[in-house]
Amino acid sequence: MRAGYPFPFLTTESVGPQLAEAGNAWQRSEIVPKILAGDCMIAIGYSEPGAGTDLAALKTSAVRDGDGWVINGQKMWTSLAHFCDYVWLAVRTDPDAPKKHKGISVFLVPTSDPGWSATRVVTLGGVKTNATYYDNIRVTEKNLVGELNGGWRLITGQLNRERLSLVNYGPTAVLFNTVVRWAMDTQLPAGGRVIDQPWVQMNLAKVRAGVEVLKLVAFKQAWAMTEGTLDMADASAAKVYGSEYFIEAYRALSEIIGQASLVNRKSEVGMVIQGKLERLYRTASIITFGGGTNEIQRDIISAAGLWMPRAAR
Amino acid sequence: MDFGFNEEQREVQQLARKILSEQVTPEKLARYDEYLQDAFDRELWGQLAGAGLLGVATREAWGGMGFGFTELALFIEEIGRNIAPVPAIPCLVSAALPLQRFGSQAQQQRLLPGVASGEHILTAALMEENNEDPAQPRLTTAVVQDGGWRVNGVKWCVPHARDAGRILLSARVEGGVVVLLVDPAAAGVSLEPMRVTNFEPQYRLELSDVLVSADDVLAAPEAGAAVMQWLTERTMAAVCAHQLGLADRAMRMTASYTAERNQFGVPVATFQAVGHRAANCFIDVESLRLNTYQAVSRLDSELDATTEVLIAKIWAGDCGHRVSYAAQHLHGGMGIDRDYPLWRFCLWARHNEMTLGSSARELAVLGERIAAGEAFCA
Repeated sequence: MRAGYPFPFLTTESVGPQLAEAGNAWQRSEIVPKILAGDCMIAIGYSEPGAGTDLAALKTSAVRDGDGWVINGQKMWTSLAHFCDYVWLAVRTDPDAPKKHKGISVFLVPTSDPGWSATRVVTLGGVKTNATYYDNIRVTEKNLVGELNGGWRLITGQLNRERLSLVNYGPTAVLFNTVVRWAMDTQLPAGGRVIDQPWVQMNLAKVRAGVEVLKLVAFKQAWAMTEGTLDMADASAAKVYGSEYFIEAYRALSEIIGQASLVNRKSEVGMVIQGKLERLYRTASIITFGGGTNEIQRDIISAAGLWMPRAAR
Repeated sequence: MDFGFNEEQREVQQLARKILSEQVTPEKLARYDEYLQDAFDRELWGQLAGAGLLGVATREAWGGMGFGFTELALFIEEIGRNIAPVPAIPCLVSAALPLQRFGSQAQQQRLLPGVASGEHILTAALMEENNEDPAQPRLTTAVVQDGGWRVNGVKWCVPHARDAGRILLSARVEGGVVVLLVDPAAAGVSLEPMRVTNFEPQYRLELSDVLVSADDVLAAPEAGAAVMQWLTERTMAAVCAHQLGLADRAMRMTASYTAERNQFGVPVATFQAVGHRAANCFIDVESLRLNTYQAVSRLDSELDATTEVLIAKIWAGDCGHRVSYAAQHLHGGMGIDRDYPLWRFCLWARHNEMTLGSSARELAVLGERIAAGEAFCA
């Protein structure tokens, strides 16, 4: 991540470990080794046109048919699906469950199936994602992850890991150091260096004080995972802090470079630090709502971290 | 990196928490409001000494437990959680720690056993008017006399100075900075009470030709600035731990209050605007906790921690400010009612915020370090 390589961390850091833990024999012996070898990528299919934050309202269904199931429905924001071999798909398997989140299962659905299709969705930052369609796709027991109707626990477990994967320290540390070196090495036409200006030092100090929390939060979560004591409120706090910090940090660092921070890497002239800040600041807006919107994370923190009662929904 | 505390550390924490939560009550704290009497609960100090906590970081030879700065910081965090009216930071951190680290055998033997047993206290004068860098005193000077020093100058906001056996302070001299242990009863010392927001006993200390003998010199001119920097960083980290304890308590008090307070027929905690402001406090407190114990553990291991201490102090200022106002706001009128205990926590939060560098000043210092290439990310 420090090197800037676009690493498929949702496959390797969230779905992979979940499959290794809860997967069946085929998933463990076939899929997990392929993920480890870099030969298999998996997209995540949760959101639908009518089910976003209220994920348990999802309508995509898997209906029993002989020894398997037939899947029909539509998913939104299935990022990287066009590169992936499977979709980790949340579907309704029991439409009559008394609580709607108890009738949900997770299947690994192959994108090679003729009933699978995707259309591009282009986002503000230029990042492409997908709407994906599931038309009479037949799956068997082999594709079911964990228990039938036991998908909710897998989804929340995957999301906890996803939230932590979003908060990574390395690339931000590299970015901070890069901007500091640029400001030390860059002379102002009026004399002095960029970094000699008090307001530049103030912006850098704010970013530096904030990145320290990012580091400690990320390291603490890694430690808690190793110890098996990962706390739900801590995971949500990490996600809220990190996602909101990134946007503030990109802004503060961009301010230092000024208008030239908006010159992107396709430009023949005027690019500063390889256009990194232009790209990051442009694409950062997804993280406050991706992976579970921050409002829901704050609900989780006040309930699980501070034992405050929650309003009925 | 290990984010857990070991068994001994948890025991120190539990012991301190038990004594302080039982002994420090709103009724007892009310005795010191508006300076009705000096905010020093000597009975509690004696109980803490009896439990060994005053000597938690003192060598066993001087009657202490022989633990390190981490255990002391855990104790200070509990002091903050209860805003206990005792001089723990000035005595145990600002004065006793450097005495144990840099003092002569004779000085340690003379002063440290009495600190651990609670018999006497020490304090430190770390602030001058418009100068909050204790390693660079500007308004206190000394000249050599009879193998010791003759001192002149003024210090501000010296906590518990009247009760202290010695006041640790720095003075500018030819060739550097000296660190001295001044007897508040010595000729030429005058103490004038200062009235401050949290009712802590603080004094303006004036020194007029005060003679300090060689026995009471802690650091010579060439070493003094480094000794002051050493003890200032530890005091800053202790202030962060104190802020952490009180902010955590104020936040949890707010969570409980809003869960019980009903309006429109439901607990106010169920309003998302209320829950979210409390969640922001949770993130702030966790940020302060992580930075505080990072700084504490580096200091405990005698590693360079200047950047980490600055960052922790910035968080202590910001977290204290935001949590204290959120706690008051979410309590509504109760938060400011002096019959409800929250208000004292809010005043102490401000004390910690402004002590030894506000967030703005520490950001400026950190910015200078960044510009000098001294604070890159690892």
